[in-house]
Amino acid sequence: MGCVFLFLVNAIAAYIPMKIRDAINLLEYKNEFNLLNYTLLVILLLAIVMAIFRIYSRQIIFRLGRQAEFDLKKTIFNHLVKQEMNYFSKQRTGDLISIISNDVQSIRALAGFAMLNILNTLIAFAFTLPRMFALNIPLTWAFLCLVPLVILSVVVLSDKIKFYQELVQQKLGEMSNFIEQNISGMAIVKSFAQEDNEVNRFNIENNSLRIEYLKLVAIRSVSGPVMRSIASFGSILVLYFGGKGVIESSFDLGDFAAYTLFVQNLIWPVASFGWLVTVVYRAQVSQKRIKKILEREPEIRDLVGAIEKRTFDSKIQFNHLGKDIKKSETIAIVGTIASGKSFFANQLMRMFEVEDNQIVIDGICIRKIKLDSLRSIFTLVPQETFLFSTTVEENIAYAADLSHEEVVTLAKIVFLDEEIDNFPNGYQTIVGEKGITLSGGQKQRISIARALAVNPEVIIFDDAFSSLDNISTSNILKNILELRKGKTTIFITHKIQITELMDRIFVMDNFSIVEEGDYEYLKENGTLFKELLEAAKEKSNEG
Amino acid sequence: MKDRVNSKSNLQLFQLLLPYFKPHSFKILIALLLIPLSLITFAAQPYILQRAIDDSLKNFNLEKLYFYVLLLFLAVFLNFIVQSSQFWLINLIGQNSVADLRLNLFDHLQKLPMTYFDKTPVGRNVSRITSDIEQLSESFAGGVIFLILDIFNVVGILIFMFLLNWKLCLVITFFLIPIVFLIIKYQTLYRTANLEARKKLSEANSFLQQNIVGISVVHALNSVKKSIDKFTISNKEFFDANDATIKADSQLSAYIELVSFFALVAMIFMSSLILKNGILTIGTVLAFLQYTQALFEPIRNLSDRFSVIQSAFTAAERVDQLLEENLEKDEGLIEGVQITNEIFRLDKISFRYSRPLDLKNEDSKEEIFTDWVLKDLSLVFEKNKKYALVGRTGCGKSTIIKLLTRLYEIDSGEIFFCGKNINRYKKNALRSYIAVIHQDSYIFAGTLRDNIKLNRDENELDWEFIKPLLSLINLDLESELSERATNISSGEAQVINFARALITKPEVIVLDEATAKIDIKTEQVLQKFLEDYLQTRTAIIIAHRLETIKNCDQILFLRDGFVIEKGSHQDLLLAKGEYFSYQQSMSLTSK
Repeated sequence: MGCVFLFLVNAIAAYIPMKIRDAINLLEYKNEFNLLNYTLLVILLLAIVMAIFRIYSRQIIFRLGRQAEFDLKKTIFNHLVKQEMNYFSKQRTGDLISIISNDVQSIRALAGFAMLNILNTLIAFAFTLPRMFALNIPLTWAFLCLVPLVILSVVVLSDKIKFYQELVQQKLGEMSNFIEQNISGMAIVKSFAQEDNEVNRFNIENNSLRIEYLKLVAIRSVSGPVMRSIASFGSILVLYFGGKGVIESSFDLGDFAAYTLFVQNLIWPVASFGWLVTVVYRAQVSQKRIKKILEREPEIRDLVGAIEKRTFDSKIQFNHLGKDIKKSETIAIVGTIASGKSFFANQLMRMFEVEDNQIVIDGICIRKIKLDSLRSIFTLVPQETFLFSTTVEENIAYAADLSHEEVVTLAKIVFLDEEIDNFPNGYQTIVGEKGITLSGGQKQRISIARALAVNPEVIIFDDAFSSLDNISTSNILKNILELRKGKTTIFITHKIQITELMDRIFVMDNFSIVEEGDYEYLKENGTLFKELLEAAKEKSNEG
Repeated sequence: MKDRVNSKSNLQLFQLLLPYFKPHSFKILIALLLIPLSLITFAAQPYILQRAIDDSLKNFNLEKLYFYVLLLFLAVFLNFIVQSSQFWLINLIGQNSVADLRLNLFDHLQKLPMTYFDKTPVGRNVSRITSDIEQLSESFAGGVIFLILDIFNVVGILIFMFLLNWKLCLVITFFLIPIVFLIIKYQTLYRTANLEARKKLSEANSFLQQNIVGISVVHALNSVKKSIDKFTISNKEFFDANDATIKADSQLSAYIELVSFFALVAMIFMSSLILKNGILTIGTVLAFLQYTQALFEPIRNLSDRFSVIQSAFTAAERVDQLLEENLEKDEGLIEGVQITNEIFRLDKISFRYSRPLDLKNEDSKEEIFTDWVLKDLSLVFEKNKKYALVGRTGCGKSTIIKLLTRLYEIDSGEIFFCGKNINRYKKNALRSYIAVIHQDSYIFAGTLRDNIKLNRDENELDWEFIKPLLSLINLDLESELSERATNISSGEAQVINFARALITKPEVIVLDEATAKIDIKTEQVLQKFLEDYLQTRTAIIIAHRLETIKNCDQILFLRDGFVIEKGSHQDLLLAKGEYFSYQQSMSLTSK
């Protein structure tokens, strides 16, 4: 549809100069006043019709580009969130975001502007060139010779500009780093009276940035006038060849005027054609990067024949550790640093890959269960607390649809309700980068509430109480255990004292469970457990 | 900041920039002189065309045609040369001034008090010196300068048109009115729509970023589907918001084209009336065709230019705000110090920190104060003695140290250094007598030698003296260190801190948790070295490790800004007071 409109627009655009030629020729014949007025009226009508078509054609084609952008972003995001966590630890967030914003943008530029330009240029040429040839053959050839020159100069100039722009950006980045470090170390800078020295060092950065900038602006200074001169060059050609034609009487003044308009109609599409080359090139590079994301299959995904299982009935066996956890048990996992506690917790929901029959739930290996359904059985509260930059309420209700009352209930369970009431906007207070900064303990309590909201069969708390003091921890813990009655809860923790409240304790060292039993038993018979208990007691005295 | 925009007129902001342009007055003069030249070479082109048509084509004179073609070529060529050099000059002036401004800004930043850095996020300072300045230069060149050039162009073209035929000129001028209206209307529409679209985009991008950073939560809470749904909504909102921009943009360009055709038709119509009387020539009509095109171009740019200028003012305002921050006070004149028996005397000093009420809001100037950290504290540090400041986090021990070197200014009371109020010393002099060794390190890209020497005079330094320290790190003096000390361990960086501070053999040494990241073995060597040196020096030490404080002459135990116990380690332990119980809890953890 857009193409049809575009076709019409260019047909009219090519026709109007012919009418103007008629009008100008009519000026010579002073008696044809009515005919002239009629011609002018036709021009006006044509111009109006063209304007309408132009509006629609542009709208349709630009929207096409936006639609492509929308679809592409959606596809990439959908693919991205399904990748396993390991993938993200290898990628820099900034790179991924840059692909979704910048690379998609350059594809859109191709789909929108560039499409419009290519079509516009081709159609314009198709309509205008025959008329130009009809008017004056040598002049048209001369004009055509100008075309590659225009395209070439645009390509070269925009390429250079982009090159230096990137250099400038890089220098700016270095300078930002420099300033950032300077400010972070300001107390030391001042203590050693290094202010002048820092200014000197900054000046070196500053000068190298200035040099890059000067290179960039040198090219920018030329590029505008170059384009303008090329357009003027068209006029020179018209004057030379057209003028000769007029003098030789093969061309009249109306032709001359029409030709001038033709050249003006074509010179900008031609110039933008050069710009187009750059767009196409960039889009190609972008497309490669996007393809790389889309072609990557998640390493952890549903295997062929995976089944749906959303319930947990009897027990989870860990064949590689030789243990199991029964339904509705509360388990504590303690151990030395890097003994594999978190790894184990993540394996349960296949955040990290497991081998066949390593972890079996109700007799079914977790690899044979569809990921989505497996993860609906478990909820993990990760070690590193991450809140979304939205309201407190939305954070708590992030993974479950809750009423406001339910959110408040959960906030009470983690002893956060009073603190939330003191926030500027209560439960509607935005937290994170765009809102208020929470303390580590507040963040942890929100993330605990967020997991409790899901109320799954199994919750795993991975060191989720580390920022809370012992008294708050045991208070919250009592509430959690009350709430979780009849369901399974696993606590990975360094606060050994709280394990007193658990049914069973696993003590891990070097990726295996070395001791097992309840608190009373381990206090007497454990070795590693006793050491951990001692260390923890000392630590709590300190604080 | 909004209030400030009103309080500062745009003219005053020009005054901010003026000093930076001054050194380039000659270049500016040339750039100004080039304006009429560039204008004439450009506006003459249609005029030459007119002459060519009426003079040579009408008379079928081929030689004259060649002459005019050559003339036109010359005009185009000259215009190219003049314009390029003009733009280049403007940019040269702009970039050089901006570089000076940037340097000045950084220089200013170095001299601001610590209180400023406490209340200003690092990122904001970085963007003042980088992106705001960049914005300023870009928009100054792209906005102000080009606006001036555009105005000259419009006026110049109008003059040429007027000279050529004033009646036609009036007709064309008449059509400028609807054009200006169209531009104002649609560009306002466009800008509002675009603002909305960009808001939606940044929402979508922020969602994206959060879901990537928080992917573990997304997976752990099994909310992949929910995330996808939310992103689709956000993405769709952006798509919808764009519709309005597309509409405004398409309409504007189509309507302007339409009006220019109207103008053309009106011109031909007028011509026919005038031609009847035999005054107007075809050449004039054609020249007018070109003038009209050339005239609409700068007018189309006009509102873009204004919005660019607006952002220049915003940036200038921000930069100005930083430049107006009060400098660190340094009113003292004394440069030399005569060491007396009483190194420091703190006389009833009080101090509290100020914090901005709202860190996220750049414009907020409101400040709140913390509770008093120190209140009417009096203390004396005597020559050649070693003091330990001990207490739990927040007791005020680090604050005392910061006040001694005037990183912060006390709110009331007086501090004397060797008998004279510290405010009477030049700050640099004061600080060169008191070597503070911090927990954090500040390593910059350069050799180890550079990092230790800093910019001090070689004859103040005693390299021989610090040799034992350097032997603790596996580096020779010429090894290159990287920015942020990424190629050395944090322990090594702390040793460098020591070397840097001790190489001048300072009179007073302050250790602020200076050995926290150093392993036990290295610390023992370091302690031995310090012990020898401190025989004849004064030291104030903050440390958690018992070993470090045990040997001090006097331990000051602080709580809530007050010295509640004072004495040697043994005395205080025997007293079984707060220090005793503090040490007990500490020894448990270090087991």
